[in-house]
Amino acid sequence: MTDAMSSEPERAKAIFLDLADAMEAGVLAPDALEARLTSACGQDDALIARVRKLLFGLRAADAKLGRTVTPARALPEPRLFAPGQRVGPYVLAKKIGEGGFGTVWEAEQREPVQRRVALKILKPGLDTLEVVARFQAERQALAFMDHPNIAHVLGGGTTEHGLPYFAMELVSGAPITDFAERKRLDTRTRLELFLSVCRAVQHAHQKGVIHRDLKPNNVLVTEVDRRIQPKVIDFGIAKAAGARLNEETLVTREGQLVGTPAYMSPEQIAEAKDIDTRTDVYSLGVILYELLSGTRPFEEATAGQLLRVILEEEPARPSLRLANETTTTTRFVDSRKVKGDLDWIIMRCLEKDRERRYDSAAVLAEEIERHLAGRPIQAGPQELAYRARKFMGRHGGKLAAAGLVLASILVATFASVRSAVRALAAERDMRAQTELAREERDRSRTLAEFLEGVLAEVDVDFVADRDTELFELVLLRASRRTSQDKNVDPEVEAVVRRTLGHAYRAIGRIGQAELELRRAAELFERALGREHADTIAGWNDLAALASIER
Amino acid sequence: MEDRKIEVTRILRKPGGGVQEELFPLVYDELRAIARNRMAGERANHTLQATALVNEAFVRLVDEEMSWRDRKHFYSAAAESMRRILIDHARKVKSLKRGGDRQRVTLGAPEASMELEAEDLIGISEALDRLAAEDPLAADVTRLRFFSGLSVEDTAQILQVSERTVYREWTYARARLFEFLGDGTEPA
Repeated sequence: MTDAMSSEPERAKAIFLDLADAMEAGVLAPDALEARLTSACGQDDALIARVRKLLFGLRAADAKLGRTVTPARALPEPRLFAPGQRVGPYVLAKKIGEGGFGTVWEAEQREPVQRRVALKILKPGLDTLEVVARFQAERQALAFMDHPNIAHVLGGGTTEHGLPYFAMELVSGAPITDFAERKRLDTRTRLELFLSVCRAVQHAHQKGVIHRDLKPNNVLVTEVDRRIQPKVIDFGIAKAAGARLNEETLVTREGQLVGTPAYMSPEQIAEAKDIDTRTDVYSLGVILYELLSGTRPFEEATAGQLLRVILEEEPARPSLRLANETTTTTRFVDSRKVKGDLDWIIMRCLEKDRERRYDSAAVLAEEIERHLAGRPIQAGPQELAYRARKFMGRHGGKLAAAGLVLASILVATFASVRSAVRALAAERDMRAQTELAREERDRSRTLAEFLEGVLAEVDVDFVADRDTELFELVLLRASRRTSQDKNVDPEVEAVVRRTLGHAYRAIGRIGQAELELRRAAELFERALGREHADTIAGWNDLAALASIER
Repeated sequence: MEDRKIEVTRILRKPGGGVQEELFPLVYDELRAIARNRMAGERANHTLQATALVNEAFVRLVDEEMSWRDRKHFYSAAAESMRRILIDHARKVKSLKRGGDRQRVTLGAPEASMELEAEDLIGISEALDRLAAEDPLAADVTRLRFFSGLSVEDTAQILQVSERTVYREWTYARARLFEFLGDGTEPA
């Protein structure tokens, strides 16, 4: 291809492809690229410029389109490393891990100090230069971090093949969730352990470092002299590795999931660039969820499904999970202890909208401390309308169902009555009109009574430990709507008012109950007459209220 | 529908050239119909799955046992139709653009799909015309991979070249297209 006969564009193409192949296969170091380019082009400046433009074009294409399958990826990876081999100032000892991102080695450093380190070597990829540049940029910040619960990042660079690597303090230990299970930690100990993790993350945040990839595998726990010590590893790595780590986390290879996006926040999925400390708060929330319930908020089978639910769905409260599933955690963590405060704290971390999460790991830690000290937490009852929306959305629990039914039936009833009235106005035949009107009213009344039946299950005991505030909000809305609607049939309105009255009575709002029941009785009387059974029952209902203690 | 299928078969069996030109309008109409149908039932900000539409058109218009030579005709026609449909669509989106509306299009084979904003397609399509003028093979690979969503294997089969060639042409095409787009200039 590179013979003298070929025209310049063809030569540029051939040289470009050779270089791209070599870089992709990891056999051309970025620093060697320039020299190789110059020698391949035989000092021809125009040709060099052409090839360079193509190389930049490819980089832009990868950035815009995402990396697509290229030969080196499709082929089995060459075995580039072996024990005894030197990588920078380190000598590889043994491979201790392998993942979608690359490999992790235990290695020995001889100079300037002798120590064992963990070396993370990334797989080949065209963005090697950028990974190294990002790491250099992050290095200063990493150097400022000094916390007993954070593994030190010691250095980084490129291997002779041009692959980026990171050297870290070697941490032996088990992922935090595994550790808690193996040691059968109780709820309190789990929380205290988690608190140390929060403080470590907070320390990093104060130094301007966001982790971006917090997950149990990056929080390793050891026990030394009966002291439990967690260490957060990989700080600064995710940012340097950039999109690659995320991509590798998600990409399925030959149908197999390499990693899991389970700990990724919605904003990481949606806009990979817009990340702040609250992203870490989200991931901490997922870890705490798992630590206390033995399950993750979302357990979807495929990465695709997982990504969708992380963006769209509300997870079940951890205490519910704990109560309904049989994980080993169930034996060490009491769901009654998780219900309430801890549910609220975790759910606050897992808010899709990060404005609603805790601002920082420190605030999260304070909340847990408050909980451990038995003081009231700040999460929990939030703005009513917001909570109502969420509550209705979950459609769990009879109460929410009742509220939903109430709301929808009220709407349906009034809508149908109104349209019937409008239709009737157009009708000429008076008899048909009356007939239709009666039919419509009967249908509405049936609906309203059905609703009453549903709500009859609500009583003081049922409501005792539930969301009465929300329930009241629904009742208030319904009541207002009923008053605003001018076209509603008095008999139907009476049934609705009676329902509202009973509901108010059920939750102990006697004043409101009285207003509604009185209006119901008056309406029955007007529509059906003084002697009608409904009218009499209505007044009796009202009278019975007086005997209830306020 | 059945008539169209017969028509496609007739065109493909016809001896001599001009197959592409005759096939194109049929495939185009079919694709348009499927696309319209699909988009009618979706939300405003949906992602248009170009490749899925082409696959559907294939199933509807031709027999599975079609020869590779005939497949080439079909997929080339489909790629060109899909491209025009997407460009029309992108222009429309651009002219109607309201705040925050972003229309996305998924291109490429399922195992290597690419998502783009509809508007970016106009530039890529123009760059593709330039590429076709100087390097027909790279442009063919791009069309088949991009707009018909063919895998590397199928692209190689249809173009009667090796898979390695497809990989290389594809790498080159991406680089050259983005060079044309001006995104490939050296960063400061």
